[in-house]
Amino acid sequence: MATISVPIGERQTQSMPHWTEYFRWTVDHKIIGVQYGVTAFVFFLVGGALAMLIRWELLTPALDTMASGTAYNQLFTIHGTIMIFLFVIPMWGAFGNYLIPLQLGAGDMAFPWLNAFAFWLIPPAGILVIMGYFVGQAEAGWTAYPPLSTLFSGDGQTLWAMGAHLLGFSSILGSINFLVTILNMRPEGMSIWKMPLFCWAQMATSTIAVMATPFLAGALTLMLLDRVGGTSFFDATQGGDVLLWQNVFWFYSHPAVYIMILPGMGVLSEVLSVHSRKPIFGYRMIGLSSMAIAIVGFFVWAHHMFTSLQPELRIPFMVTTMIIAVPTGIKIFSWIGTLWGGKIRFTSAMLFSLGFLSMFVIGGISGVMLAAIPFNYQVHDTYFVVSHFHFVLFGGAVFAIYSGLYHWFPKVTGRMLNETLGRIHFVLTYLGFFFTFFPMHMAGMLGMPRRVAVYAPELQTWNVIISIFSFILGISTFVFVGNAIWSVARGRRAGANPWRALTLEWATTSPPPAWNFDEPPIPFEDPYGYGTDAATAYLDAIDRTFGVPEPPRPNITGGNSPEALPSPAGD
Amino acid sequence: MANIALSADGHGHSAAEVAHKNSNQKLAMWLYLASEIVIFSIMIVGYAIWRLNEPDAVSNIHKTLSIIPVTINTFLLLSSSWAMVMGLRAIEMGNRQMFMRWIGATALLGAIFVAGQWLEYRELSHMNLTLQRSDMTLEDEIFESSLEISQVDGGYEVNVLNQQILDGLDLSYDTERFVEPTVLTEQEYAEFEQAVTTEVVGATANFGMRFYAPTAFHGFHVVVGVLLALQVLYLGSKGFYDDNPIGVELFGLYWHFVDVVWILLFTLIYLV
Repeated sequence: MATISVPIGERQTQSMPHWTEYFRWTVDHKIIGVQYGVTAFVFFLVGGALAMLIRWELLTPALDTMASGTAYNQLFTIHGTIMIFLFVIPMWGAFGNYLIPLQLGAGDMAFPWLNAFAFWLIPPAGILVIMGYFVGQAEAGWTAYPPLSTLFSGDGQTLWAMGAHLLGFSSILGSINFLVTILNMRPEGMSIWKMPLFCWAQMATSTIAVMATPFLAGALTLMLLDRVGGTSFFDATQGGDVLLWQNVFWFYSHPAVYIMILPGMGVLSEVLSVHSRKPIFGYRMIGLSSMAIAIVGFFVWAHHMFTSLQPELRIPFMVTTMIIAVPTGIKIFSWIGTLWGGKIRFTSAMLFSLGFLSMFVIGGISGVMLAAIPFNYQVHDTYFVVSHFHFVLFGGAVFAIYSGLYHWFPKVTGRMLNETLGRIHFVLTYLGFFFTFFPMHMAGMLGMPRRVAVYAPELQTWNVIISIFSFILGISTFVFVGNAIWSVARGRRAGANPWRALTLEWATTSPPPAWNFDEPPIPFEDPYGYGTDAATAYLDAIDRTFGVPEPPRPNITGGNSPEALPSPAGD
Repeated sequence: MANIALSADGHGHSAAEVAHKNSNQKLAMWLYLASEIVIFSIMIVGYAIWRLNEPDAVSNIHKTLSIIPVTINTFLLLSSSWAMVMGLRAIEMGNRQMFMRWIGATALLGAIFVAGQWLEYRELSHMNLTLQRSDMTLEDEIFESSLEISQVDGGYEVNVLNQQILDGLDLSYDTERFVEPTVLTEQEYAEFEQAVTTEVVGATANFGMRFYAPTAFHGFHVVVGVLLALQVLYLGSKGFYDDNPIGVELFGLYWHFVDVVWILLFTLIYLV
């Protein structure tokens, strides 16, 4: 029998840090991770409320809820900004902060102080963006194209640019920290080809963030100069160039969509393997395809500009855009290969990962459709585009975020989330999501333009359907919020390794102590080696100590008894 | 149950631990500089594109502005990089006194560079070159070394000192006559002024923002560098770097980066 070198953990769980710790400056990566996560989720609720207002306005073809078109412009501008800059990107910062040191068996990040600093840039930035409402909110869309953003928008646009600047700075600092931690802090015996795939995904993401975010910083600097300093970099009548913004902005913002999705793909690689009890299929290809996406992602930006670009550049960008679907496809097939013949446990985490798998494919296919120039001309700036990026951002990133939350919540809090509520949450989210965003394809092809409050009356049926399901989607969020609050207080004790996983974050107590590991852990030869001698011996030892895992029985509710067995596969 | 092969040997700062931390910090500094390059590249490329499109305006500006002060300034900044290297070498060899002198020289040369840039900006602003686009005319000081115009009987005498300014001018008469001072009639002069204004004056007015943004952004980095040098001096005087001079090395990386960017900007804006 192989030696068990990874600690199997303890039955007793640690208690979480005192709640006041979360409101203070601290350099513990786990507390910072939770700070990131909760802040991002609060912004998710704010951005979601704005989305509900948008859908309420679009119930009728006329302008009713909003006072004016300008108010509507401000609404979707701030919805987009909050969801992208203040929710998805910081949320992946939360996962990265919490998990990277644990998965690498390290005590903390490479630069704990820098880590805290990067987090504390986010709340002021959020306040700056929201404060714009008092001085004339930004109204140029999250893409902030000049001259809308330079000559027409109110002072809120200046605050918006400053907020985005701070968030970019935070993102760069955080990513430098991630990269150094991943490249330099791996334990002995864990080569780059043996580290968990979530770390691979974060490595690719951080590479993009370090190399692409400065483009946004440069563009925002020039925009601030235009707005405040009286220059005219983006004013064509004064010797400037409008396309300069579009090029530089998308040179950041297209790679940024991979910043938003790659960590989700990392989460999926973890969850699918653990919950189907099978080694990941094509480990190297998943890792390398992340890097391939990161690199090719820098050469597709102009597909956002098919209608404003020099005609001879359209075909090359169509080709690169279609090429980037290839590494994504490699991942999808690898995940299906992982599931194939596995002992699948339909936990909430697994359900959301499977939801990602199905919905992201739709978003990917509509992405390839949009890359085709003739088709793009037809649906440019219509709801087809809105549908596409919500399929990849909500159906992709948000589903992966939920999946990750269900998967790692036991590690963070020491308690399981309630599986019954988890399933209700999944069903409501999945249906609400699909019937909100899928009909947008039809509305878009019928000619519904994005970013308008007043539309042709014959499109009202589609919009009413979309709005009703979007309200269901909005409500589904509160199922999760309620579940999380209830489970933190009264959820069933999780134990060190409730999912019987092999990566190192499960080799310490839940929640981990401030120093993470009592002894430096020795990683498994293969972090996904279910079925190997070493893994079987390790998992058997856990079973002998804590009892054989029961199959998931969603009807059993949790308890507060610390004697309760760690639940392996759900409540 | 836990079966552990490795065990932590004490919590002191072992040599391996320090070396590991140092390599972390160096990697982080390189990544930070990589992202800095990107920010500068936007402004540099923005200038370069304008430079390609407006060769006549650049020729006029180069003709008017003296390159001597900025060359001296560049030389000072490069010397500061050398002082930086010598300072790092001194502290690595354990000579704290020499280290203080060399880093002090670095800070001083950096400060002089900033002062020189300040003087340059002042001179340019007198020539009506500002961050905002200004309404320029042929009579502005910035055209003095490219054109001499005086009113004479029957029109204007025009002496074109910088022939490149005539490139691409759309005139109804031959530009060959400008090879030597020539007298234009009122009507011809009006046409000449109109053409030069379209081709060169407007573009010269656009020079300001494209010049100030990258150079001031670089100047800001030099100011930060000088402040960092002062901090390195202060910590060094307390003996902070005697055992582990990594902090000096990191500052050196930053300082050399700022220098390299200036070489790029100097070449692109002042030389070509």
